[in-house]
Amino acid sequence: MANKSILRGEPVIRISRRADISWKGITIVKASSILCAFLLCGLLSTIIAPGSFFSFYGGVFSGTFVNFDTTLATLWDAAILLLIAVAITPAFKMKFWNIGAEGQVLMGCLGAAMLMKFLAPHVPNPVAIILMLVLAIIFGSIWAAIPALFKAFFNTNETLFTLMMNYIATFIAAAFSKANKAVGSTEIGTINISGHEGWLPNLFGKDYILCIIIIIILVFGVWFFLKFSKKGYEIAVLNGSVRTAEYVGINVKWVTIRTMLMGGALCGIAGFLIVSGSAHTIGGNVVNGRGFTAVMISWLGHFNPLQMSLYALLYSIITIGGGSAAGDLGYSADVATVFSGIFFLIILASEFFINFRLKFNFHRKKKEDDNPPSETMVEGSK
Amino acid sequence: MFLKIIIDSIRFSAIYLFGSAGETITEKSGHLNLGTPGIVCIGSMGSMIGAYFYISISGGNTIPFLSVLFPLLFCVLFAGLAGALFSFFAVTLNCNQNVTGLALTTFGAGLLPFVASSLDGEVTASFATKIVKPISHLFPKTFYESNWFTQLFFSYGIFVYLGIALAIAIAIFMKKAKTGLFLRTVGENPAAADAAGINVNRYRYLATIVGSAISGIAGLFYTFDFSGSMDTSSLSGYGWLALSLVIFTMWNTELGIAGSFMFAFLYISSKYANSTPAGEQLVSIIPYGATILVLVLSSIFSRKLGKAPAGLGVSYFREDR
Repeated sequence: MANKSILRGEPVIRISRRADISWKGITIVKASSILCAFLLCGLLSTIIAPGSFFSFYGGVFSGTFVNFDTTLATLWDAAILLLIAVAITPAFKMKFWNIGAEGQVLMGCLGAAMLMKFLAPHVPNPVAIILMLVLAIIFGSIWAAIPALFKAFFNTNETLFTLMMNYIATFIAAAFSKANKAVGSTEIGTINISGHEGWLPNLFGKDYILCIIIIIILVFGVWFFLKFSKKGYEIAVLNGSVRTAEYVGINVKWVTIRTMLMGGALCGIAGFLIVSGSAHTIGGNVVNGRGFTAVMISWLGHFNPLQMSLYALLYSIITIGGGSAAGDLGYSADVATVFSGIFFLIILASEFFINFRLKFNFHRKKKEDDNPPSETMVEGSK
Repeated sequence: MFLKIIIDSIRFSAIYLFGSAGETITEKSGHLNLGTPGIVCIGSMGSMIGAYFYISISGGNTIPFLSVLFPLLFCVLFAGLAGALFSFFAVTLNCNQNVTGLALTTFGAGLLPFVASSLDGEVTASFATKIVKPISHLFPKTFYESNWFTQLFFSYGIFVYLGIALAIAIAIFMKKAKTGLFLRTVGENPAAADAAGINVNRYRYLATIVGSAISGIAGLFYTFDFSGSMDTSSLSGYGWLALSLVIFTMWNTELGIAGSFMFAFLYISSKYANSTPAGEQLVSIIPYGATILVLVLSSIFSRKLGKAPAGLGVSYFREDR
C-alpha cells in the first residue's frame, strides 16, 4: 500500500517544515490573511444583503471608531481580551494547555461581585475596591491552581480538566446571581446601582479609561517578566524540554503550579475589572466567551503581547463593528459571531505558510523509471 | 411523574449519545475536536435547511419517510463538511487542534442562530406538523399510550433507537474489526501506524468526518425531536457536555448509553425537582464534577482504568520524526 504512492512518481506539491522565516515574510503573510478575512466578511455580507459591500465597511466603522465613546468601548473590549490572553500565555509557553481562562476570570468576577454586594455599601470605597481586587485574585488563582496541582502530581490531562472547570464556574456564578436576585427579577441585576459602591471611578468623566491604563501596565509587566526575569526564563526552558529543565535543577512541578497561580491571578484581575469597571453585575455569561477567544488570540499572536494586542483589536472591530453593520443593513446581529469565526479560521490557516514551505514540482518523473523507490530514498536522505 | 422523568431522560440522552459517540470516533484517531459544540450546531443548522428544502420542493405534501430522510441527509452533509474542515486544518495545514476546534465552535455557534433567523417564518412554522411529528414518534400514539411498559420503551422517535444501536455498533467496530484496530493505532501512536503502512492522514480525515457527521445528528435530534422548536440557544452547552461524556465513559461508546442517561437524568430531574433557581444551577454542576472525578481517577489509576489515546491532540507530520 505504501509503495503505491512511490510508484506514481514524485508528488506535485511537497510540504516541508521551514527552518525559519524572515520578519518581512511573516508580516506579508499575516497582513494578507487579515485583509483576506476582512474581504471575506464583506463578501458574506454582500451575499446576505445584496449590494452592501461598501456599506458593510461603513457600518463596521460607525460601530467602532466613529466617535470617542464607541472608540473607547472597542478599545476596552480589546484590552480585556488582551489581558486574559496575556494571563494564559505563560502557561501556554510551558505547554500547559490551560483553556480554563473563562472559568478563572468568572471566579474573579464572582469574588469581586460578592464583596461588591455585601461589603462595599458598608466601608469606604477605596477599601472596598482593594478588598474586591484581592478576593478576585484569590478566587482566580485557586481556580487555576486546582488543575495545575493534579497535572503536577498525577499528570491529569489539563486541557479537559480546565475545560470542565469553566462550566462549574459558570454554574456557581449563575447560582450566586439567582440566589441574590434583585426585586422583581430572577437575576442579581446591576449591583449598587444607586450609590455606585465598589465601582471603579471614572477617569476624565469617561468609563473604561482607568481600566485600559491598568491593563496596559499589567501587560507590559508580564512581558517584562517573561522576557527578562529568571522565573520567566525557567518557563522558556520548560517549553524547550522538560528533561533539560529537570537536569539543570528546575523544579518542574513547582514551576507548573507557580505559573498557573500567576495566570489565575491575572485572570482574577481581569474578572475584577469586568465586574468593577464595566459590567457591575454577575451571572453565568458575564465573561461572554472571552476566555475561549483569548486562547485563540494568545496562540495566533505567537505568545507575543504586541501581536496579541493587534489580534485582540481586530477581533473587537470585527465583532462589534460587524454586529453594528448587520443592524444597519437589517440582518441578524448573530452574524458577528460568524465573522469572528471566519476571522480566526483564516488567520489560523495563514500559520501554515509561516511554518511550512510548499515546493511545486511540475516536471515530476512518471513511473517509467526502472527503480523509482531507490531514487526517492536517495532524495530523502539528502 | 417518576415515569415521565425517566422517559424524558431517555429521550434527552440521545443528544449526549450522538454527540459523544461521534466525538469518540474522532478522538480515537488522535484528534481532540473541541469544535464538537460547533459541529452539533452546524448539524442542527443542516437539518433545518434540509427540512426547509424538503417542504419547499414538496409543496406541503410531505411523506413521513422523506421528512425524516431529508433533514438527516443535510445534517450529516453539513456536519461532515465541518469535520472535513477541521481535518483540513489539523492534518493538511498542521494547525493546533485546540485552536482550530475553538475557532470552529465559534463559527458554528454563530452560524446556527443566524441561519435559523434568516429562514422564512411561514415555512418554519409548518416544521412542527410536517417534520417534528414523524421524527419524534416512531410508533402510533394509540399503541404506546396503552400502558407504562410501552410508554417506557416505544414512545420515542427513531433517533433514540438509532443512537443506541449506533453506540453498540461503534463499540463492536472499535474492539473487533481490523479497521477499528488500525484506527486505535493511529490515535495511540501515529508514527508506528505509519511505519506499519497505515495511511495516518486518511484515517484521521475519515474518522473525523464520520465522527462529526454522527455528532451533528445530536443537533438534528434536539431541533426536531426533543425541543421541537427553533430555539437553539442552549445547544452548544449540550455539545460541551457531550465532549465531557467522552472522557466520563473512558472512550467506550457502549458505556456512553448509560452515561448519557445519567447526564440527561440529572438535567431533567433538576427541572422537575421543586428546587430554587439557584439550586437548579448547582445541580447542573454534577455532570462536570463527575467528569473531573473520572479524569483524575483515571490519571491516578491509569493502568487499571485505561487512558486517553496517547496521540490525542498531537498533530502528526511525517518529517518531524
